[in-house]
Amino acid sequence: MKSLRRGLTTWLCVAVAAVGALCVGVGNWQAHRETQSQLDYQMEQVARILAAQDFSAPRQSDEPADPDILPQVYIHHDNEDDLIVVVRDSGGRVRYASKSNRHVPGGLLPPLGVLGFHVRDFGTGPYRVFSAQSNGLSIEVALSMDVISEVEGGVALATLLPIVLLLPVLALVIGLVIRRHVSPLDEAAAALAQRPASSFEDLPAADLPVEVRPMVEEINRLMRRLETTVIREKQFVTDAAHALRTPLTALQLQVDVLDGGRDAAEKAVRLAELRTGLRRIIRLSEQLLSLARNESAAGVNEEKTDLRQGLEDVSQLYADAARIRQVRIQVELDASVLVPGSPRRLGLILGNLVENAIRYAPAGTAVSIRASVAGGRARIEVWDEGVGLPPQELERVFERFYRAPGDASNGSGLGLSTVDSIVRQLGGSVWLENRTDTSGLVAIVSLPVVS
Amino acid sequence: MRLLLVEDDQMIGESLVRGLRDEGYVVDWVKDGAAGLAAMQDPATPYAIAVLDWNLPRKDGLAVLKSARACGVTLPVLMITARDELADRVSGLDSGADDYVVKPFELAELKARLRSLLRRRDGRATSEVIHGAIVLDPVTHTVKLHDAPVAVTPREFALLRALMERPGAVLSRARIEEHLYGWEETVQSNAIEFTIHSLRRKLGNGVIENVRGVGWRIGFVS
Repeated sequence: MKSLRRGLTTWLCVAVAAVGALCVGVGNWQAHRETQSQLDYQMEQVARILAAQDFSAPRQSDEPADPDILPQVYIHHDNEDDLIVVVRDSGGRVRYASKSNRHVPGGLLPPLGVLGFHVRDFGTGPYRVFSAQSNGLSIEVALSMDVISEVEGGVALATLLPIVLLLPVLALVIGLVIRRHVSPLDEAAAALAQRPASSFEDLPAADLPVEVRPMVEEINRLMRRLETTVIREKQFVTDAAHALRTPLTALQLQVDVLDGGRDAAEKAVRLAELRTGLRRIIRLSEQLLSLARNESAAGVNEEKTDLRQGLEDVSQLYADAARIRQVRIQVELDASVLVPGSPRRLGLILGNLVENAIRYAPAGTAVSIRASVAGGRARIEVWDEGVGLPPQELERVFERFYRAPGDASNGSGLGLSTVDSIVRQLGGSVWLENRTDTSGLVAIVSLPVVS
Repeated sequence: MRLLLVEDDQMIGESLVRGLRDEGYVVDWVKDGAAGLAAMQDPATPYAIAVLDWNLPRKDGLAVLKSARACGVTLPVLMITARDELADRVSGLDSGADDYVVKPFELAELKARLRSLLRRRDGRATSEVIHGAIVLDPVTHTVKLHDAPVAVTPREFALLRALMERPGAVLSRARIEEHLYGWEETVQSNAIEFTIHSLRRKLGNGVIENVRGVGWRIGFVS
């Protein structure tokens, strides 16, 4: 798994280490150069001082050196003994030799033969040697490379120690800074993890860095959409459970009174009532199912259905119900067109409207279904001669589970809301009007025509 | 025992009427709140108890109850509700309901609650009505004389019950008819006398006393 914090910390520490290593390399090289030039300068200085001395009388190398001859020029190193000095005259006789010559094999620095700085090995390790000639004197100053390295090491350590010591501190600071800046994310995650599944409150975005805020705001928007969906589903389940209670109660009571009838005729009546009750609850559950299915059917339905076929199907399907209620079904269709939606969905639309019309139509009247096409839209009308609806109820009856006051039918209050839901999804609209020619209701569906 | 049923659902109403008639109640059924309130306030119909649905067209059950109680109707009322949230039940009881059942419920429970309400109204601890040697049990619909069961018809039972529940009170013919018949039933002129005659035959002549010109009252059978 990718970790922002781990990645940042690791790579920043690698970068710091690399920079540190570079500093050490450059520092070392610098220390070497500085020390070299410093020591070279000192050796030249010593040679110059010696050249200014009077060495008219030869001296023994073991005689104590005149303390004035070699001043404390060598500041980096306490031990003067390290500096080996030999002064010879033009005849090659030693006029002065420092005591430190004893470190050199043979007890005396041999003449170099060339002027300037050179590195020579006398058998006990390399020496840096400076050779000069002045006033007929030949002066040689030598310093062991070991001493030079030691001095260089000291200088390098002094330069680099702070850097080396500061590196871990820097790494620690980087770690802390990163942790501090990443912690709002951790806190947001912890807050998310702690909240119950039922909570859709916004995550606080105000304290978050700008880089993260857009994501959190998107999450919050998603949460709100989810909340709307969950609330709607919850409401549906509540409504459905509530709607089931009345037919269930009826069923329970119808079963309860089955034993009670006095004679066979009475018992038969009660049994018939129980059957009606069962049919009602089955119908309700079917309607709930088709409503739920329709609500969850997302996206545009690409199917299309022949309107003429749909009308024929529905008039056949309800022929028996109409006959029982002594109602005629008339179908009038101008032209055959295709409308969007599957045959099942068109069947649900027409079926619910026709069923309603038959339910409220008085015996001996007609329910007519008229379909026409104009301006790219199909218009389907279902006419009945029932009592119609008070104007204020014309829209309310589309609400889920709503039933107009005084409606003695065993309707579920779901039919019209199912119709409305499907029609909307198909890009159409549905509404009710009271008839003006006689009493009764017209249900009108307008659907787009597809080719 | 006359009962007012206010219920808008056709199926529930039909079954309740059947079930309650089987139990011996005389049931009047109205289908909306306004009619229910009118029936409750009607002084001509002495209901013993009312069953009131909460969800009603025109005027909901709670409003009916509040209006009725405001007018001084003391009738015991049992509410039928589909709402089982505590707040709803509390507001129902606070508005003057004496008890409630939550949909879906069983007829047996409704009947038991009705009996319990009637007991409470009469200040009795058990359902049985005892007068002398006669014991009337509304639960089993049986009548016992000296601990021996006596078979009675529902109408006989209802008449006996009406008289036994108000010992000493004289009930007029009209009053008894109200107890025995619902709105839609036609009463034959000699039906009451016929029922009384039948009861006297089964329980003894002294069981019902005739107060000439006024009506009848329960007699003491020792």
